Order: sequence, then structure tokens, then C-alpha cells
Amino acid sequence: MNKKAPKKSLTSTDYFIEVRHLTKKFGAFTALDNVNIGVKPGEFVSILGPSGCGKTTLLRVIAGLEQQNSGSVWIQGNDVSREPVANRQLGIVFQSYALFPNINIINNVQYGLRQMTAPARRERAQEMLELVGLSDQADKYPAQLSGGQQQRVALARALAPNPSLLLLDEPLSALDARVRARLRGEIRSIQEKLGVTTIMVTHDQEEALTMADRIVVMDQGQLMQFADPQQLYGAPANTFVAGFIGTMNFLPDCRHQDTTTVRFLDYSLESRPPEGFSAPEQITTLAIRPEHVRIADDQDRSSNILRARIEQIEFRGSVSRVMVRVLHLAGHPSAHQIEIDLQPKAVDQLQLDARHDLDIYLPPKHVLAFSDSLSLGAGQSHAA
Amino acid sequence: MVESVPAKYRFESTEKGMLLHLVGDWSYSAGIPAVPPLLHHINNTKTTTIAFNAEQLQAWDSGLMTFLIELIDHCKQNNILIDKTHLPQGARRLLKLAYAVPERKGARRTILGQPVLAKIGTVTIEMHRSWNDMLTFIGDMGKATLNLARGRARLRLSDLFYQIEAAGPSALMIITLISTLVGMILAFVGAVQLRLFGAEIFIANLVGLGMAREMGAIMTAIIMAGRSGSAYAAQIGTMQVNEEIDALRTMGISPIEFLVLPRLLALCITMPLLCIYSIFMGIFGGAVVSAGLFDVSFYQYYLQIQDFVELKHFIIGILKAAVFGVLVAGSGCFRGLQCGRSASAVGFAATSAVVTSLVLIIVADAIITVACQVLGV
Repeated sequence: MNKKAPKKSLTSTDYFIEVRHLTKKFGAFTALDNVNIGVKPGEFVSILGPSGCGKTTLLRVIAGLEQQNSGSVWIQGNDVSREPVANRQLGIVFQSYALFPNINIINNVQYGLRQMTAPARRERAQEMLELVGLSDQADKYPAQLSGGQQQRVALARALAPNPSLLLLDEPLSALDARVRARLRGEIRSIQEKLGVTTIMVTHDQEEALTMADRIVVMDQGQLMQFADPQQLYGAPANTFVAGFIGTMNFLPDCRHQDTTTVRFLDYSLESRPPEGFSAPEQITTLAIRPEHVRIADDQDRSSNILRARIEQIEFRGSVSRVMVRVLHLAGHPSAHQIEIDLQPKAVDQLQLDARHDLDIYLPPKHVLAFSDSLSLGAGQSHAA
Repeated sequence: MVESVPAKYRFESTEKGMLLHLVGDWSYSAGIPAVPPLLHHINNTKTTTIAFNAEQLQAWDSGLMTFLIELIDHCKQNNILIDKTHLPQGARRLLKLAYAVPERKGARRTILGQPVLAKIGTVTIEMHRSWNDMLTFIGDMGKATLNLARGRARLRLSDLFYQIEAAGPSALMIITLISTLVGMILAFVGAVQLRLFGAEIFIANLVGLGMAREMGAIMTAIIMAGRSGSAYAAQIGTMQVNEEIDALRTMGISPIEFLVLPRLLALCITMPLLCIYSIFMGIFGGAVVSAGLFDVSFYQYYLQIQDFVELKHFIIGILKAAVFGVLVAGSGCFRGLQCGRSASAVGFAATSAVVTSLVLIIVADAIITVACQVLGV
């Protein structure tokens, strides 16, 4: 099948799959803008981003279903940029399952195994169906199965030819929340069991955070950050990632004050020393997660304390989210709101209610600092 | 009941900045005050904060929201703080929703009323792209046919038989109806003129020649373009939407060999047969009109056809039908493969398959007719 041997890379690399300087345009619209990523063998990488950010296009270019305008795709050190999809030895699970409706499950699974003998094909298909727990449904037709079961058949079909790379294109987006949560675990455990390098596209941050070893965050065709879930949440590279992963309070329009502090409204705030840039005059935005904001008590130092007025308290089960409006030092309200996550017990103890004024403390080690130049530059680098 | 007061605002300077009093009925239908004079005033006063007083505000709807959004956008650009605390709760929520997601770039319609030259340019670029796709498709089809001739194509015979069955026998009823009626119409229109010279017997020549050389093949092709061509585009387009085509390509199965070739062969085989049937049905329709209305008996009609309509005319018609079969199947499959990834794209693919087929049929017919004239057949 694979007649032409792909070009061998001149540089040795530890990556199983690598994309270099990928650019893809659809007419005047740039879907991918100079994207670079490297995925290690056996790794589970998730591509995360809002609708239209280019994540599915990236997956389709890696698969060979779309041709890039420039840049290259390398699998196991071989340049496969011009190879057709069939020569890339990969399995794809599509968003719409893409099962053939006119043939039964077992035949769907063995469809891509044409080079094997008929008994071997059937045996392999049966083995795959057992792996996904559907061996008893082999003779049914796709329409007779539920969405979750169809997706598992699609997974079995993708894994049947023993691909070296598995690509998942929003595999769980059409399923209800419960099935989705169960399938997440199943897909991850199958992936770990087989050790197959996997790239999954998703717009669901929870899905990405729970399943992936590392996450590629994209926006408007550009790579925003490529890091593990903890790093993305704790040390986002720019305001987009900070706002996209979890909930974040932003304090915009900050002005440089001195070497350690910046000015926000009438307050001076200290932040965690940012990685990647050292000049505080670059800082334009501060950010802090709701769970890191505290209600100030007497022991807190006078710095990093903001005066605020409670506007709303939402009970969310394990936490209560308190929305406060930052007040100017003179006492009148500003345009900025901050969300604070507190234990419901603490809300009761402190007797917090709407219209109540209070001081909030932003611990400097949790206050993140961003600059515009940092946001733009972050898309260009590997974060291996 | 409180009488409705037209929407108006007044501003008051306070120590904290500007306080904007919103008074009256701020619904769209009642009329909303213009924003620019207010913005001009704000710029002049150099205020840093704007707060609202909505105590005298009566009814409000999206009119108030457009006013506020315009005001807030201006204030954001000029670093003026907006205190929304005293706006109605509903308005605050709507504003929060409006600013929760940034406006998607390029979502606004901006190309309304594109200049003529730009339109011509866009259409030319689109045609160039379409030509590229079409040439690639023709090349792929040629390659697949060669593979088939060498016995290497992945073609399932069951698929081919299914397509022949769907395109051939199932179309007989409609071909019978249309061809008979066309034969009758030809006979009737011709006979009215021929009768003036007492030459009704030549109805047979007219209908026989017309059906054999032109109308049999054309009518069959038009019916098949509407019946099978559009169905092919819809079937393959739906597979494209469901990503089944991508799945086939991933498994190393060529969609051209697997989906296009059986359909192309099916129409190549069935179209000539349907054309022969259509010719005879047309001739039969002509005979009915001749015998029923113009005193030309069935036997006379038969003898006239036998003497004057030679076999070569039938062969030309049948060959045309085979060519039209390729064009109809090709257009249907091509538009299906070109289909976008939405449900509406499938409908568009089906429509455009029919249009493409009809244009190609007529163009091909003209070329073949001229070629036959030049060759003297």
C-alpha cells in the first residue's frame, strides 16, 4: 500500500508526532496560523478552544484530510505532509460517528481490515468489540444502538487496524452529560492500556482537563499555550488562556507604579513575579481565581486589600459564589466586579448578605500579571 | 395609570462624577434620544465616572439597551467608568449577557452591496477553484476506470447491481409516460403543418427521426438528471456531512472507486437501454396520434419508419445516451463530493447537480450533433 517511502527527518526528535509552522487558509480566512506542537509517544494530548478557533482543522491536517498551505507534519521522524491519510497509519473517531448505516456493527469494525483474511478480520473485530464492551451487540445495525454505544463502535473501528496514532474529533460532544462522563474514563483507560498516542479535539475544558496529559489551547488559528492541565490552570500564559480555563477575575487597565507594585483604580497591588517578562511596566492586567480571593481579616497586611460591596450570593452546593463590586477608596462603586468562592459555612459565619461592604484580600502569590506583548508571543513557542 | 412620557435624559454633576437621570418610556417604538449629543457633552465635561438614576424610568426594551451599549462602548474607549448599580436589574443582566462573550470578528454582514467589479472577481476566483476541483475529479475518475479495466478497482458487484436496479427498472414508469407524450406532441405539432400539403404520412419520419436521434436520449437524460443525478448528490453529500467519506479515506478506500464508479457504470449501462425504450415509446405515441387523428394506419406508419429511419440514427441516439449517462452520474457524484458540512449544503448539492447535468447534456448534445453533421452521419 505504502509505495513511496516518506522522507526521513534530518534531525532526531523525541516526538512521536510533530507539526512545524502549520498554516492553513480557507480563501481569505486563516484557520491555522504558524502552529507548532510536538506530542511524545503514548501521550494523550487534547486540543482545546472555542468554536471556530481552528482545532478541528489542525486535527484534519494532521490526519491528511486537509492539505496545509505551508508547514509540515512529521510522524515518527518521517515527513508525511504530502502522504494521503491511508498511508499515515492512524485511526480517527469522528464527531458524527461516521458508521456505515447499511452494515452491521461487526462489519463496520472490520471494514478497514481488508488486507487480513476473513476469519482473522472477524476475530480482530470481535476482540475490539470486547475491548469496548459491545461484543453482544455485534449483529445489530448502528441505528439500533444508542449514541454512546455508536461512539464506542466508532472507537473500536478506529483501533481495529492497530494504528500508531489515534485522533478523536470531539468524540463526546453529541452525548448527554452522564454518558459523556463514563465514556471519558473508558476512552482514557483504553488509551492507556494500548499505549497509543492520542490527540483529541474538544471545546469542553472539563473534558480536556480530566483526560489529557497535555493540552493545546488555541484561539483564532493561533496556539495560545501548550502545557499540562495544572500549568494551564495555575500559570496561564496569557489572558485568553486565563479566561478560557476555569473562572478568572480580571483587573484590567492597571498602570505601573514601582518595581514591585502596579496601580489598579486607587489601590496599589502586588502580584506574583510573572514568568517570561520581568519589567513591571509591561503589566496591563492582573487576574486572580475566585477560590484564591479571601475576605480580609485583621491579620492581613494592608497591601492587596480592596474595599468591595456584595451584590449577589449564589449557592452552588459545595461552594457559594459571592459577587462583589470593587469600591473606590472614597467609597463609591467602580465598574469592576470580582467573584469569590467561599465555603457556604463561611458565608453563614460571616453573616454576608447583599449590599454589605467588606474588605477583600488578594494574596500576592495568587495574583497573576499579564501584558499584551506576552499574550501575542506565547503562541509561537513549544512548551514541551 | 401612569401616563407615558417620551424618553429623555438629564444629567447632573455630582462630586463622584456625572449622574444620568433616565426619564419616561424608553421603548423602541416610543423613540429613543440620540446618543451623539450626550457623548459630546461627556467629552466636554471631562467626567471620569457616570452613574445612573432610573427612578423615573417607566417602560423600557431593547431601545434602552442600544442606547446604553453605545454609551458604554464610548466610555470604555475613553477610560470613563460606568456604574450600572442603579439601572433596573433586568437591564443589568442583559448588559452582562451582552458583554459576556466578545463579538465574533467577521460575523457582521459587511459585503452587502459589493461593487460589480468585486463581484466579477469573486465569481471568477470561485469558477477557477471549481474548475480545479472538476479537473481533479475527472482525473481521479479516469484513474479509477483504468484500475477497473486492469481488475484492480475496489468495486463491489452488489453495489453495482443495486445501482443498476435503482436507476433502470425503477425509472421505467416515468420514462413510459414522458416519452409517449413527447412522441404524441411531436406527431401532433408536425401533422398540423404536414396536413397543409397532404403529407401526413411523413409524421412517421418526423417522429421516428426526432425520437431516435435527439428526443429519446435527451428526455431520458433529463429524467435521469432529476431522478438519479440529484439522488447521487444527496446520498454522497449526506455521507460527506456524516464524515463517512473521511472514514473511507482513512481506511484506504478510495471514495471514487467505492462510491462514484458503481454509479457511473450503472448509468452507463442503463441509460442506453432506457433510451431504446424511450425511442420506441415515443414512436408508439406518434403512431397513436397518427392513427387516431390523421388517418395514417399503424401499418402504414410502421412501413414508413422501417423504410426511412435507418439503424445509424438509433445508434447515434444510443451513443448519446451513454455519454449523457456519464455526464449525469459524474455531475451528481461531483456535486455530492463537493458538498459542504451542513444539512443545507446537501440540498444545494442536489440542486446544483441537476443544473450542472442539464447544462452539460445540452452542450454535449450540441457538440455531438455538429460532429455528426461534419462527419455526414
